[in-house]
Amino acid sequence: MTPRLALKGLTKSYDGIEAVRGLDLTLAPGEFLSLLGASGCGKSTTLAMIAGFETPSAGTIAIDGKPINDTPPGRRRIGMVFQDYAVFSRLTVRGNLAFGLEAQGVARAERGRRIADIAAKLDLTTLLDRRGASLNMSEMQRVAIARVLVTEPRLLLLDEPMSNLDAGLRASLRSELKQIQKSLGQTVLYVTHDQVEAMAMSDRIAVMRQGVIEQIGTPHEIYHRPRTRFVAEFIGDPPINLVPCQVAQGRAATALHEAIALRVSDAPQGRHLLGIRPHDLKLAREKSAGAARTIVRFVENLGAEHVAYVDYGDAIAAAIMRPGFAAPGDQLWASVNAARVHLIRGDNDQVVLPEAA
Amino acid sequence: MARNVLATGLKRFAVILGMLIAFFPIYWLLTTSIKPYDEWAAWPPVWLTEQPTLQNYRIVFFPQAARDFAATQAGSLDYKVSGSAWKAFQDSAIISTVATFLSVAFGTLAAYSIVRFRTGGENYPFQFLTVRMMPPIAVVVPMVALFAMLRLADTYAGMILAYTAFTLPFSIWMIRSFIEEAPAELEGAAMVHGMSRVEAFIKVTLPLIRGGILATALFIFILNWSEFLFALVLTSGKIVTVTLQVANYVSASSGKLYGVQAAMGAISTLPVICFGYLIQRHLVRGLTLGAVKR
Repeated sequence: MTPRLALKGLTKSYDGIEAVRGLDLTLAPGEFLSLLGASGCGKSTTLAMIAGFETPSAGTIAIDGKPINDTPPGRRRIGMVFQDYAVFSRLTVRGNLAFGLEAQGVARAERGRRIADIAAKLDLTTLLDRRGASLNMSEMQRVAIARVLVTEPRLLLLDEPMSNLDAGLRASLRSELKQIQKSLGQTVLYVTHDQVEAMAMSDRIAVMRQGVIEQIGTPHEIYHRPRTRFVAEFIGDPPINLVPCQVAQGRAATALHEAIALRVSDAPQGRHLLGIRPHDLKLAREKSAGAARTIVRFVENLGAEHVAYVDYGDAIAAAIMRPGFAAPGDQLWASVNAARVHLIRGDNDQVVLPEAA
Repeated sequence: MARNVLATGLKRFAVILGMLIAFFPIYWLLTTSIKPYDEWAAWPPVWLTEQPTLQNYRIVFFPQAARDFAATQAGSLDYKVSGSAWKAFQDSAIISTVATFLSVAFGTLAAYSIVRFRTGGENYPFQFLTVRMMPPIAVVVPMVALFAMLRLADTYAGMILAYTAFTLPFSIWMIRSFIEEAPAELEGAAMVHGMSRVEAFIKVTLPLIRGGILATALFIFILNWSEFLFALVLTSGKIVTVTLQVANYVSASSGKLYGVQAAMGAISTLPVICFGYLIQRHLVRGLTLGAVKR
């Protein structure tokens, strides 16, 4: 199947500094892919090039197999929803929805039919005659998305559409957006710095850093099989614990645990880092095999779960526990779920991948 | 409570003091323009004349009046007025208006390019602003030579060109801040929906920054209207601007005709005030838009 979007060697440099470096990426029709990274990693620049606002310094952008590098933004049949939604505040909702159709030269009767159709799908029918300026955030987002979807774009680009919203609204819009996308089978490229959004909505996630994709995979892969230290650290909340370790004969010795059995058969000897997710550092009252004694320093309440911060050698490590299981000052036994630790090479920050289970 | 009263009082005092300082020259201009000859430079100064006269205004508009007046003074005054105020207003209006339009038009395009395409790089806006820091007198001599060579001296085209060139940095600098405030996303939205960049600029961004552009135009117009140095050295009689005409009211026997100069000055503020009044609705918004961050 021809990919809906194919980026090959996409590069953008400003004054000799490469913001995006040789990016390769494909999106299948109907796929929801997130570009995830901190600000300045090149994700927004990539989006701007796909939309046509920026000209690539090198590389090609193809949609349905046809290069579109030289096609002006308006003829790419790409939709884009912006961070601030960019709803035209002086136009009515109907005027906003008609905007793209008018520019495309769609006949009046057809326009009316398509606007009514999309308005019904996105629950905007009662808002059609309101002005853009009078809408709340949730309504604006729906108008921005409807305005784009009504033009039946081949690809929908979303540029951090939720970063200006408060947490509650964000969660509800997230599921709303995902439902719309699924029901329409819309291909989406979503740019965000928020890992929760990316994990919750994406079919695949591409983690970007300094202009290159560090890793691309399903949310499950990105979380459970990170390939680099950066990905391991970037994904997961609370973040992964990275503890120095000494590897010998397939076992890792840390400041707390003497011998953690590694799943990698040819584990490199020497000093490395061990990544232990807070969920995989178990706290118990009773001693068990491989458990080591530690003390709780402070506790963070996340509601359904609490995070205990415990001594780990000279450092502090986070461990997830049941609410109320321990209080600061408690002495506990900490053990590591050895099947789920990540060994990160000290010399190149690459994760030593375990054999597929 | 008492503190509040004191603070309010101090604020009022400061405002009144500021206004006194700002309005004094205007008061002096207006009062001088209606003084008879012997009070123009009298000491102690005449703060408010007891014999107000429109003579000075009459001389501005009807040079013939100067001669009649001189005759009544039994030759004690030699009112030999050169040039015509009508012609000066006409020349200044043509030069200032066209130069303002060009400066703002080019300034808008250049500022747009700098903001949206990072034209010229990071430090470029500061570099061209340095043109305004240079004292104009420093370039006057080469300008005279250049204008003579290009046959631009003493022509409308030459004056317009000089004024456009010297106000352009200011124009770019001001409009740049307004364009920075106008969200690029709106243009982006218009563009993905099928508009070209030019269309998106004209239909989406331009209406947003209209107030700023008008405010900039007013500033540039004031600069052009009150410019003296270039007008003095780049013309030689065919073109006479308002500022040059003010300097024309001198006489060999009695020196500067302050009253007439004041009358001309008072009249010459009218176009600027009218322009400012016409656009004042946009002006406040335009002036604050660039300063306030969202």
